[in-house]
Amino acid sequence: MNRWTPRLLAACAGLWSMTGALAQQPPSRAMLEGLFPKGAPVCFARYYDAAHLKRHPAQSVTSVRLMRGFQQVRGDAERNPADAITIELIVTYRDSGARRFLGDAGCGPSLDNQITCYSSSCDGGSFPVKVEDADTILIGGAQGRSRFSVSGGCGDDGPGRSLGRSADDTVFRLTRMPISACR
Amino acid sequence: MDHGTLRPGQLASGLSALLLLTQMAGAQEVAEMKPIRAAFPIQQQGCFVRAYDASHLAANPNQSVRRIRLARLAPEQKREALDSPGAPTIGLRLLLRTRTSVSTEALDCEARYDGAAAAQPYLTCRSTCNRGSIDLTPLGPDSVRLTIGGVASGRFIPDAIGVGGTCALDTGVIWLGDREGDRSFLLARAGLEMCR
Repeated sequence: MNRWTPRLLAACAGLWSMTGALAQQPPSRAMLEGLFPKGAPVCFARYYDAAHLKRHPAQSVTSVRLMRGFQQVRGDAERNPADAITIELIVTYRDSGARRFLGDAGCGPSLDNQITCYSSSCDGGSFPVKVEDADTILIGGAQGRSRFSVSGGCGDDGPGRSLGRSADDTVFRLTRMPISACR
Repeated sequence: MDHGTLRPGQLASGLSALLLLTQMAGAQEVAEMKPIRAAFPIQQQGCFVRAYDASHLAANPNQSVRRIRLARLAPEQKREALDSPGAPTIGLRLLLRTRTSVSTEALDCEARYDGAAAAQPYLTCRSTCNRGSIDLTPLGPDSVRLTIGGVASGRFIPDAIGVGGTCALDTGVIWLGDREGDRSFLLARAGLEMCR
């Protein structure tokens, strides 16, 4: 997170607030609040094992963690409840071991009555979230890879990395886990 | 009256008001940064330390930390000086000695002001390996409180920061904050040699 991130998050939150007001609490707002209850840390994660990666040689992502920890819960408590819910996405890749690439995002209801998480980094992209059941979500684009920057975005000197990096980095099924599993 | 045209006088008044608002916001930011800059002056190295003796550790079995230090030396100043929006406001290195291990982690810190929600401005310092974060609250020029986790929405939410190893490996990482005794530390300024 750089010094601009809180301001960008606030700007995103404001935009979400406007979107929410226009849409007059669509069902996806309830879905969002069910997924991320107010004041509660949340972790959805997926760690791909060697067998899965062997079957999917075109998949570069080895783990995905969608986390709403203390920092995000505190930040949201200080904002308008109708604003976006902030999360962080931690991604590891086949060619960089356990090195964590991280993207901050604000999630809210989108006009197609789904949940979309927008990067808090300028032009950092977005990814859709589909709720499969109470403990399972699908993130990423069914119609292609999601461009969501977790490194190398504007003002970031790190290597360019996106959630949808390789041909098989399309949809990720994450399951609810204890918050410690998102470390 | 033509409502669609802005007259030069109106434009000048608008610009003056905008300038005044910008100056007020800038002045507020400077005032809010004051306690932070008192503890972490611009372009100055620093070192904060807390060490616990055997009797303290015996009285606090739920604490694993024996010594905790925050260094702001040349490498941290170099990160602060980067000409990039990714440069931290304050760069630090956390040096940790627990009952069983020694490890360090680089931290990038940004100032936070929560208005009524926080009694004073503080820093949120994130691990440069993206392994969690800590908060630092300056209590004066020579003292800072380091906290991990805290109260949000009326209840305590635990947190943890990974310390040690390299960014590309999870082995050798100590997660600080899991134990109740490892969530709040009061550090005092010390000579730079204490952080080398």
